[in-house]
Amino acid sequence: MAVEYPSAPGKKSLSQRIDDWKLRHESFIKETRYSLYLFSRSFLSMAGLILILGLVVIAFIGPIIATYHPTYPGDQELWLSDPASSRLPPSEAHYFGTDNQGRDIYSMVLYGAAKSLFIGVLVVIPASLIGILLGGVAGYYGGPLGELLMRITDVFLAIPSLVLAMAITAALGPSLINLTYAMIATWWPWYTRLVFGQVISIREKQFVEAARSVGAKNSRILYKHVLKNSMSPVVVQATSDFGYVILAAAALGWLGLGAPPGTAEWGIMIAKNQDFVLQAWWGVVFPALAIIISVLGFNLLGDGLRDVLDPKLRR
Amino acid sequence: MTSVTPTTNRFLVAQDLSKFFPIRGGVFSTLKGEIKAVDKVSFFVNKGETLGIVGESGCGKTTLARLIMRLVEPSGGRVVFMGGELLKYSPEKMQEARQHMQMVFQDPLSALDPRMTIKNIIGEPMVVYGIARGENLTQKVTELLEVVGLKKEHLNRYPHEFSGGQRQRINIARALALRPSMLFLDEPTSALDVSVQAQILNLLMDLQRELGLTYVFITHNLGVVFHISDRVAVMYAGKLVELGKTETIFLRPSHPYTKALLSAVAVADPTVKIERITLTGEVPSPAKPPPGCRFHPRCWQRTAECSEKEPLFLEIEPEHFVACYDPLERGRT
Amino acid sequence: MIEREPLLRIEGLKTYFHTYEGVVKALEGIDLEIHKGETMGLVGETGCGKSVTATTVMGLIPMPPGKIEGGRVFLGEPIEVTTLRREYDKRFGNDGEARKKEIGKLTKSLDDMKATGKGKDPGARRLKEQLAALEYRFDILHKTQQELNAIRGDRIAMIFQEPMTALNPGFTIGAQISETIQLHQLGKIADLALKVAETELKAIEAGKRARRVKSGSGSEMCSECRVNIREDHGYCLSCGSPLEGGFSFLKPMALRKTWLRTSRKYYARLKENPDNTYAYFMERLPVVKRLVESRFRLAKTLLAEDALREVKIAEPIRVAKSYPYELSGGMKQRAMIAMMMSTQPDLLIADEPTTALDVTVETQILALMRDLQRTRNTSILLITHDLGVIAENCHRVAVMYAGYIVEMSDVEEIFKRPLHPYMNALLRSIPKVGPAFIGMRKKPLEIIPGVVPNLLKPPPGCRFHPRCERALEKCSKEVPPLVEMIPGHQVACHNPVPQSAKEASS
Repeated sequence: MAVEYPSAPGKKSLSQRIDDWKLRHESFIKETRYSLYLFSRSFLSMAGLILILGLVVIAFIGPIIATYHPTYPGDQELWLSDPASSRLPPSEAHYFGTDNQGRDIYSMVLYGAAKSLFIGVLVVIPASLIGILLGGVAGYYGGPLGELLMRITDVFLAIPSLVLAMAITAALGPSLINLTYAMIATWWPWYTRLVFGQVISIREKQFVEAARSVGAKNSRILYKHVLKNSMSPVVVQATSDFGYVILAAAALGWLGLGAPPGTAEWGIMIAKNQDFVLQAWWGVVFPALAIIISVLGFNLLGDGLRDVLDPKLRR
Repeated sequence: MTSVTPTTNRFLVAQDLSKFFPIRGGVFSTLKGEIKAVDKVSFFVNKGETLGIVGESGCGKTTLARLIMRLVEPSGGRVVFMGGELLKYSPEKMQEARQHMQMVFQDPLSALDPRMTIKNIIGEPMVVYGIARGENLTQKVTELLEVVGLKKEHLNRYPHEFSGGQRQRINIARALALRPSMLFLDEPTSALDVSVQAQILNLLMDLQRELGLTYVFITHNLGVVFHISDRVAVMYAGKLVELGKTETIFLRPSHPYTKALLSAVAVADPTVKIERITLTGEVPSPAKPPPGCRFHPRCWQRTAECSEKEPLFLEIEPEHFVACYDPLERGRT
Repeated sequence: MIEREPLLRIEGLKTYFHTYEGVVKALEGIDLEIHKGETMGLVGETGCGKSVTATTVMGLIPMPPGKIEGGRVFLGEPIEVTTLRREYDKRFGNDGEARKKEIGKLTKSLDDMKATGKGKDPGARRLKEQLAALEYRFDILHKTQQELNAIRGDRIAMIFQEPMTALNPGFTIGAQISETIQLHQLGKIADLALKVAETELKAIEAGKRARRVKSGSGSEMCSECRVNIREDHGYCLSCGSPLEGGFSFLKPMALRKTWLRTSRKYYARLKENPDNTYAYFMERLPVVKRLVESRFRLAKTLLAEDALREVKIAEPIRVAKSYPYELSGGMKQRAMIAMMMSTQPDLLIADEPTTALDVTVETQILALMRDLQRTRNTSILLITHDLGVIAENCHRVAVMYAGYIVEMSDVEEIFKRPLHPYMNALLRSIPKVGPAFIGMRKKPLEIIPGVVPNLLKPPPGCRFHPRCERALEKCSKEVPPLVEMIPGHQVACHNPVPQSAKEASS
C-alpha cells in the first residue's frame, strides 16, 4: 500500500486527519490490538472485565432501575422505614427482600454500588498520584530527601491501616468524604514503595543514561523516561486496589465509621442486618454478594492486566 | 606527569584522569577502601581520527568514556577538549559542550526507551536543545534516518520492532542529531551478528569521512579495532598500559599484556597455528590491585622492580607510549 | 573420509513455533551427524536456528508455541545400525528421503510394524523391521519425559551462553554440582561415603585418636597420618581418626560407632541399588536420613570439588563454597562445565559458551574443552557465530541459515573452499588481523546486503536468494537440497561458488 506521508501543510478534512493520526500511531494501534488479543485469551480476565463493566453500568443506572428510592431531607440520604414490610423474603415487590425496618434491599444495593465505586475512584486515584510523585522523587533523586520520604512512608506503613482510618474518621466526623480522606491516608504508602522500587531499577537503564548524554535535565528524564516506564505495576496494583478499597470502605462502614448510619452502603447494610441473619438471610447475603463480586471482578481484571502488560509474556 | 600534553592539533587530551569509587561498610558507612576503576589515565585523540580503546571487562574503558563525557564525575585529572578545560566547565557550559561529544551505547535495545517512538527518541536531543519542533523536527529526524540507512516509515515504530542492526543505526542517528564533532562508541558492534557488524562498521567509516567526525571506539574485538582505528590504547585494570598507532601496536607490541591479548585473538583460518600466550590467574580486583605494576602477577617478564613501584607511562618511540619496566625495552629508551 | 562411529544423528528435524503472528518455521529438515570424539561446529547468525537445534535435541523446546513437526534424533546408535542402514540403501536404492519416509511409516508404532511390510521379499521385510526397531530404540525425540530426564545430563549435557543466568544464584556452586552428581551417579557418592565411613570405623575400633598439628606451611595436619585436614571436620579423612575439637555431633565414641555402622550398612545398600533404596529411605524416614546424611553429604562435597579440580579451578574448596555472584565470568563458565562434565556425558552441547567472555578467558575455556574432549572422548557440538572459534576448535563445521543447513564439511576444507555464497560472503566480511592485511585497513568491508529473513514469511525457494549475488531464477523456486559436491563437503546451493574463482580471488 503506497503511503503518502503527511507533509503538505494547509487544511485537511476530518477523515484525512483521522488517517494521519492512524498513520502516526500505527505501531501503537498494533500494540494495543495485540494487548487486547492477549487479554481476550484469558477467560478469567474477560470475566473480571464483564463483572466490572456491569458494576459501572449499575452504578450509573442504579437509581433508574431501582424500585424504591430514598428521600433527601437536608441533603442526607434517608430511607423510609416501613415496619409493616419488615423482614420480607425476596418476592416480586422486593427482589432482594426487605430488612428489619422494611426497606427494600435491592434498591439499597443498587444505590450502594454508585457509592462504592466512587469511593474506589476517589481513593485510588489520589493515593496513586501521591505515591507516584513521592516514590518517583525519592527513587530518582535519592539522597537525604529520598531517605526522608521513604522513612515517612515506612512510618505510615507501620500503623495498622484500619486503626489509622478509624482515628481519622473519628476525628473528622462520619461522612463519605472524610472516609475518603482517611483511606487515601492509609493507601498512598503502598504506591510510594511500589514506584520507588521501579524507579530505582529503571534509572540504571541505559536509555536513561543516553537521555542524560543528549543533555536532558533530570526533571525531564524523570517524567518522560523513568515514570513512564514504571507505570505497569502501578496500573495493575491500582486495578486490584479498587476492589480492596471497596472492601475496606465496607469494613469501615460496618464498624460504623464513614458514611452516616442511614445511607445505603453495603458495609452498613451488613452491620445493620447481621443480627437477623438467621431469620432474614437476604439482608446480609445480598450486600455481601455485591462486595464479593466487586472485589473479585477487580482482582481478575488486575490479574489479567498484569499478564498482558508483562513484557516477558508477550510474543 | 606524563608527556601527554595538549597541543593545538590534539582534539581531546586527557591527563591523569582518575575515578575512584568509595567502598563503604560497617554501621556508620565508614570508608573502607576504594575501587580504582580508572587510575591516572592519560591519552590524546587527534582531530578526524579514530582512537580504539581495547581491554577486557573490568579494565575501566567504559568508565573512561563516561568520565570524559562527565556522565560520571572524575575524581581527578584534567581534560582539554576543543581547547577548553572540560572539567572546569559550569553546568551551563557543560551543557553547551555536550553538543559536540555524543555517545553510541553498547546494547542497542536497552539504550532506547521502549515506550518512545523512534521519532521521539532521535528527536529528543533536538527538543532538549530547542533546535527544532513539530513539523521541522519530523523533517530533520527523517533526514537523519536516511543518513543512517533507515526509512521514513520507521518514524513511528517502537524499538522492539526492529532488528539489532537497525537499532544500532537508530542509536547512531540519535548521536548525530546535535551534529557533534566527536563520537564515543561503546562496543557498538559487540551485540550484533557478524554480517550486520560489517554493515555498521562501513556506515561508521562513511560517516566519519563525510562529516569529519572524530571517534573514540571502545571494544574488546581486536579485529574490529585493527580495521577501523588509526591509533590504539590498551587498558588493563584501570590503567593505560600502551598507546600507539595501530600498526605499531599490532605488529610491534611492547607491553606483555598487549602481546598476550593479541595472541588470544581467534583467527578465522584453521591452517594458521598461533603461539598462544596463555595467561594464568585472573584480572585483579579493582578494590585491591597488586602493588606496583598491576599486571606483574601474571607477567612472564617480571622483575623485582615490577612489584614495588608502578611503571610510568613513557614515550619509547614517537607516539608510542608504554608503561612497563621490561629490561629489553630499556635498551630502546 | 574416515569411517567413524556416529554418536548423534539428526534426520529431517523440523521445528515450528506457532505464535500469535503466524508460524515461525525455525528448522526445516535438518540432517546432521556427530561422531564420537569429534567437535562439530554449528555456525550461523541470529535466527538461523542453531540454538533451536540444540534445544530440540535436548527436548527443551517449550511445547505450547513450539512443535516438533517431524524428524528423528538418534543417540548412541551402535555401529550395527549404520551397517544395517547401508545395507538397506544398497538394496532399496540410495534415496535417503524415501528411506526416511518408509522407515518413518514403520516406526509409528512397534505394533504396526508387524502388520506392514511389503511382503515380497521376506529378507527385505526383516531388514526393514530390524532397522525400524533399532531406530525406534535410539530415537530420543519420541521418548517419554522420564526417559529423557535420564538421558539429559547423563549422556547429553548442555552449557549455555550466559553463565550468570544459567547458574542458580541462590545456591553455592558446590551444591549445584552435587545436585547433578546426585541425580545421575548416586552409586559413586554412596561408594565414597562407604569408604569414608569404613575408614573412620576402623580407626575408632583401633582406638586411634588424633590431634590437630600445625604443619610447615601453616595449615592444620592430622597428628597420626600427617595429611592436611580441613577446619570443619571432626575426623581425618585419610586415616579416619577422630580429632579433638572440630565440629562433631557425637562425641561419645560408642555412639559414634553405632552411628557409623548404621551408616555403613545403608551406604552399602545404596551402592548396590541406587534407584530404589534412595528414594525409599529419603522420602520415608527423615530420622534415618538425618543420621546417615552427614558422610553422604561429605562425599557429595568431595566429588563436587573433584569436578572443579578437573576444570583447573585454582581453589576448588573455596569456589565450591562460593555463590555464583562471587565468581568472575570465566570461573562461572568453568563451574558450569564442571557441572556438566561431572556425569561423563557422551555429548556436550555448548551454546555460545564464550560469547559473553573476554578474549583471554575465551582461549582458556576453549583450551579446557579441547583437553576434556581428548581425555574423555566426548563429542562436542559447538554452537557459535564466531568463525575464529570454529576455525580453531572444530573438526567439522555445519553452516546454518534461516532454518536450513547450507554447507557442511571438514573445517580446513570449508575455510579454504567455501562453496555456499553465504559462507563465502561471511568469510570475506569479517575484518582480518595480521601483517598481511594492513593494506585493507579502513577500507569498506565487503558486506552481505539485506538482512536475515523473517521466519514468519521466509522467501520462497532458497532462503538466501534475495541477498545472494549468484542467485539464479531457479533459486527463488526450488529449495536446494544438501548434496555432496566434493567428497566430504556438502552444499545446499543451485549455483555454488566455483572453485577456480575462489582460488583465484584468495
